[in-house]
Amino acid sequence: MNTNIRRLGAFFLLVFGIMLGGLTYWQLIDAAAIQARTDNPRLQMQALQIRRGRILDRNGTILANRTVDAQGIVHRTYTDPSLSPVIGYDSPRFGKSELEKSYDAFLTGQDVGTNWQLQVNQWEHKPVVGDDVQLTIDDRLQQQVASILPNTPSAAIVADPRTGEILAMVSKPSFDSNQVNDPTYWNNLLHDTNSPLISRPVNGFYTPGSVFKIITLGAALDSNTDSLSTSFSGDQASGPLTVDGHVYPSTINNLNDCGGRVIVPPITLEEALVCSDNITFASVGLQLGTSRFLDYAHRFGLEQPIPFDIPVSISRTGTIPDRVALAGSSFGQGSLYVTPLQMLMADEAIADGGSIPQPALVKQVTAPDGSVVKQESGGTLFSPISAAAAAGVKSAMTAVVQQGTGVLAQIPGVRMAGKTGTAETSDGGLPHAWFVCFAPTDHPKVAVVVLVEHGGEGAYVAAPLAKQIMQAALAIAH
Amino acid sequence: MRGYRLRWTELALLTFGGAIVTGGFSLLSMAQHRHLLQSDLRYPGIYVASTILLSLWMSKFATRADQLVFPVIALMAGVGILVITRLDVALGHRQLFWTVLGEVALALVLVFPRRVSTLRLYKYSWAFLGLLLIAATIVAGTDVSGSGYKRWIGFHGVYLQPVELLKILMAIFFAAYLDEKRELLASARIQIGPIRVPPFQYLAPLVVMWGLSLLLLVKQNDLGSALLFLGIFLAMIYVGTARAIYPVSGLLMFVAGVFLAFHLFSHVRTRTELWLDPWSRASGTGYQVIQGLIALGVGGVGGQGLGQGHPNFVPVVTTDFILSALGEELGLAGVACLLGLLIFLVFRGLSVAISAQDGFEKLLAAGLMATLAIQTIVIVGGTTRLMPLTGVPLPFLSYGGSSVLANFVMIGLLLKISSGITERRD
Amino acid sequence: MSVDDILLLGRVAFVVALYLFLLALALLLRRELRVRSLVQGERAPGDLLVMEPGESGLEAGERIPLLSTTSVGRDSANDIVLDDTFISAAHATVKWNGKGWVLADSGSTNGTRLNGKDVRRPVAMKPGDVVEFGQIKFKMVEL
Repeated sequence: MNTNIRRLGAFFLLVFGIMLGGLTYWQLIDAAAIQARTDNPRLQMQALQIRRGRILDRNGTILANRTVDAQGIVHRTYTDPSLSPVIGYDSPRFGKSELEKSYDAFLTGQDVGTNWQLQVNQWEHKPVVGDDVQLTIDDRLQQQVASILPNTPSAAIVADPRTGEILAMVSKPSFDSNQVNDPTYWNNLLHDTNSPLISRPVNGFYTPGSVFKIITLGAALDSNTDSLSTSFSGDQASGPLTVDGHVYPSTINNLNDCGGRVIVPPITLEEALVCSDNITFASVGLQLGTSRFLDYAHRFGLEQPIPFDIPVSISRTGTIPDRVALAGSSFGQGSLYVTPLQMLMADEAIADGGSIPQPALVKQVTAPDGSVVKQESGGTLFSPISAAAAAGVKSAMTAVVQQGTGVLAQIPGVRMAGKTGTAETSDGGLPHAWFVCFAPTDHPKVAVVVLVEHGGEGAYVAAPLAKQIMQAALAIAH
Repeated sequence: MRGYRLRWTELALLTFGGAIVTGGFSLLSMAQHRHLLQSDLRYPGIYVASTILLSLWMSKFATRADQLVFPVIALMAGVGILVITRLDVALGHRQLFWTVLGEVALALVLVFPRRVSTLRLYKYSWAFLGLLLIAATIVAGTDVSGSGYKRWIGFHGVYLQPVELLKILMAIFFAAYLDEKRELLASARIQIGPIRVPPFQYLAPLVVMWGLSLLLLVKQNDLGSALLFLGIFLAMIYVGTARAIYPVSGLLMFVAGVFLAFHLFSHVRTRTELWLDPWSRASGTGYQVIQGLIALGVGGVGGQGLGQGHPNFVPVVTTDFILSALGEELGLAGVACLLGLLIFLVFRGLSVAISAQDGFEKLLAAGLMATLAIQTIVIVGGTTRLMPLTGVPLPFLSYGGSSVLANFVMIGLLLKISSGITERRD
Repeated sequence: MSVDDILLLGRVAFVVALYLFLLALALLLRRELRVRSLVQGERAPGDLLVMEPGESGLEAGERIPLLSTTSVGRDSANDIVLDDTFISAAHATVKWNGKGWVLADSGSTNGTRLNGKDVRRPVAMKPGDVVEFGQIKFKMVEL
């Protein structure tokens, strides 16, 4: 019997070995996969306990903070509601958006590698502390811009054209990220016809109107089809212009009231920009031809995905099937749909000698131990036109503010370049009012784009707003 | 032998084990209150005192009994109390109560009956008592756990699981029966074609066992106990006869029975399907199994630390799924060590069986160890999905009064057998 | 040291202590085996393999360890107790002298045979030899 007992023992040992193998599979080999299952209730608990990284402005002012309650659950608080369209929200109920979403891995401390202290913290069940994200935003300016813009649907971006850093970005109407977790509040946001959840500066689509002329002008100068002094006369200048049977009406009334002056054709291309003459730009566009026009639009960033710290909608050229559409698109109508960020980028290209800097919202990401985890990459995003062409557009834009449609943006003692835009919309309301500008002209430090939805004339509505914003920005510019 | 001799090895090991358990309670207290609450040490105190007292009792009444067996089960029981206290304080205190009661039962078994072999005289009475218990449970039992099956018997708030007592009774009966009939079972043969089988009249107990286990399976939905009984019987008949035909044919018959049950009874079918694919039922019937596996995965190799994981997310974690709690908080390292203690116990018990001179004692010791081993295999295998999940307690570690009592009585019998061996050797 | 550090160290210590307990058991087991072999005499590097067990209750194939001096007989005082009617109380001895094996009959009634030949005087034995005590047959095997 003893042999049998020994064999029984050996059998049990073998089976215990198999059991140990089973345990090893679940606790070692498959451990990472099985505990990452969404039905692991510990994950939700841990997620609520992560000491989410703070979000700061460029001067260190806290924009999004964390508080820990008695149960160890972390709550998010936001200090500046005007930044909600930029920072977004972190709601346990409705998820995350904008920077809270795109920088989630940093904010929740997932990006960090393993060092000894972090490993010990994990073993000791200490809550994960996320990285702090410092923005390029200057919150003093942000708040001023927010108060300058009207409370109707509108958007404004202030940036440094040398670096692409966004100093302020305002979208109206906005919302309060602090209240997003409240379902009633959320529901109201969803059903608000003014769409407060849309971040207008990067996701709003608008017909650009005359601000687009800086792109058309840049294309003409860069491709040498025209120069600033090229003269246009007759129906090439003031119309009415007939293109393949379609008649673009006369613009002679506009030329008779150009920043208070009366301009009589023939006019130069510079004067056409100063007075924002549509017919001249239609002629310029027709000279460029569809493929070259589209090529330059793409070089300026239309139809291109824009790498940015928050999601950006792709600006559209639409289809240009014929010369009629080409003529319209050349002065910013047609089927163009652009974001304010797109027009800011075009503005920066002129300010920055023909190149568009990589736009940035995040200056750097700092780990809890103070080490810098990620830094603004900088660099040039696109180089659409030559420096010479940009200088040409710049001088024309300077004249716009000095003596053209942009006179209401003038700041005493500051040389500024700008362009108005009055975009007709198909929905029958007032046109969208645009203004893009940068200053000081010679060494631009600040670039601004302002858009007021259905605000009326860019010259009368957007330009004065841009002036106030530019004044505030120059006061704190570096 | 009639004198009083302190069992130093045992006392030293009990002190070591007691220190481990007390240390565990201290860690638990610190994890829960951020500092050591002295009142939390009352319970390990009671536990350590009770084990020392039992050792002193044995130095009078079982001087020659093996000195390694009791410290091993005491440590496992201590870790069990610790982990159950961590999961549910009130339940932990009850487990301590049952453990002390189990130690008293063990102490009593050591003095009565005088000789283990006396038990063989009443073998049919044990078998009859066992069958009676099962019948009584099926007819007049209580459904304490809300499983839908009456598996408990008792009154006035004290409920016991007869299945736990039954396994001891059956082990005694088999040992006695096999010791008497093993020559016949091993030698007598009838030729059927190329296979030689033993005469059918001796196969009666095999058939009875097969029927009993299937009855348990079908009437009580207790596949775990069914497997356990069959396993004990097959292990013992193999030890007794050295003929592989018994375990093999028994297993085949059981598989055939399960196959039949699979087609006849929906709960057997559900269980099998659940085993093969719990993932698609993760929020329904598979929830328990998957949460158990997640807990194991969360524990990883090193464990989360006592009182620092969240094993309470696993349903029925104090009984069937205690392994998941152990795995989450002590990790693979801790669980492997506990399995090591269990296999050490089994081997120690089997070596007692080898040394025993009397056939009945040999078979009984082997049968008792087979019980512990198979029970461990069934629940560990079920939790880790190596086999279908069937709820049996993990010996000495799961919560359960009946289980604790039965296990301590079994160890009492083993110690008694070991004490007889050394007596004769001197 | 913070509470968290203590808990982490304690956590490791707890599992390590469990293993130390297992180690203690293993050491005790080894000591017990050594004590037993001292009591029973030194283990010699050979076994007797049971070929025909007779009535002894041994099983064919079972290996019986040999000591430096192993006494064989029916009396329970022998190192190998063979409970068989053809075995004398003190039947034979097997000795290991450090180099080789010596088989000697202790004046048994039914004799001792090595490879079929009666052993009258102590004879040298080597692994592979067949040893018979009464009707019980063993094969000498190396450890």
